[in-house]
Amino acid sequence: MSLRATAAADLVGILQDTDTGGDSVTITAPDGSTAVVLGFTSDIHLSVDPGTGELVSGCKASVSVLISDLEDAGFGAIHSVADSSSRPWLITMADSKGTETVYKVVETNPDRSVGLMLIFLGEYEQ
Amino acid sequence: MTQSIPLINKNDGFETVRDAIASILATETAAQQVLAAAAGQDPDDYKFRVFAERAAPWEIFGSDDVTPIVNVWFDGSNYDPSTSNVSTRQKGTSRFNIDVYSRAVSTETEGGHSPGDEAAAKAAHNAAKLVRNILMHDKYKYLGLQGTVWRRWLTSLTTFQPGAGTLPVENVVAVRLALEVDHNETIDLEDHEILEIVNVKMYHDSVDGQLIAELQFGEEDEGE
Repeated sequence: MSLRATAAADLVGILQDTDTGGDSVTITAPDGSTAVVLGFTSDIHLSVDPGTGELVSGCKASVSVLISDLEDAGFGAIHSVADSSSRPWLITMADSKGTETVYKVVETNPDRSVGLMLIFLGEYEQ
Repeated sequence: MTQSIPLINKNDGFETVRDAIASILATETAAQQVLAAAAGQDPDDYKFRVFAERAAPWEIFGSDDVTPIVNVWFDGSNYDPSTSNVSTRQKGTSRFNIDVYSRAVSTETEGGHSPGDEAAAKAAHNAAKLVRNILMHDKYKYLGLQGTVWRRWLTSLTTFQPGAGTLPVENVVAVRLALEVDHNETIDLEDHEILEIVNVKMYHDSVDGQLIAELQFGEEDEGE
């Protein structure tokens, strides 16, 4: 087994481990269909300089899911939607206290070397 | 033994101008909201929060209040010896940055959604438009400081966005209006012509220092 195949297999094993693996996240496609997959979630606060030299306190949220899980769910085309006449892809995930928040997908970064999709999220109100 | 100079218990010209800019903006956004309501428009479209020399991070953007923020801060001064004298008066050209920050949330609409990045940019542009129209109005060509201010001129308007790699959950867009003001470094106490009587109550919010202006039109102050 190649090093890359080993890393990919390890990733699947780590992510799907019921004790130490990823959390359940719900993906909602623009057509309203949903799928629940496992993913590593992140929602951390950070300061952002919008360019003026002054900081704005905000947070940065992301989720990493297996590309194979997305493709199995028929969601391999997940991407950011800028068109206002379309619904965006949404991610629903819970924080450490179990509080669920809905986010809009604003950027997708597939890492095809190990089969992981890193998805950056933005605020969304339904 | 040398004799010390008298107590310096006055504002310098650039301090007076900085405070005048903030006061004008706080006063006029309040007035614009009144006028908008009278015209049947949404006053919130004419509302922004005014701060002066604010340097701490804008944590208030984490709340539900997405009213744009305007921060007036002094950038620096240059002095022109050809139009100054060496003892009592110098002509200074001061630069003030007026930074407008806006935040917007992506929201679901009837047939799609309203992208937060576009909404944040449009809100910032709207607030910058208001600031520009206020400060460049003929009424404020001397920023209400005739005798102190020679000229005010908006030199540039620049939009900023967070760079790649720092993509936050919040959609925040900033616009900087750079205002250049030629002014004396002496204080003029000349009375100005009364155009309209407006009672203005100004105070700093006790929570976060926001500059608040409350206006009352057409009534003389009790002391007059």
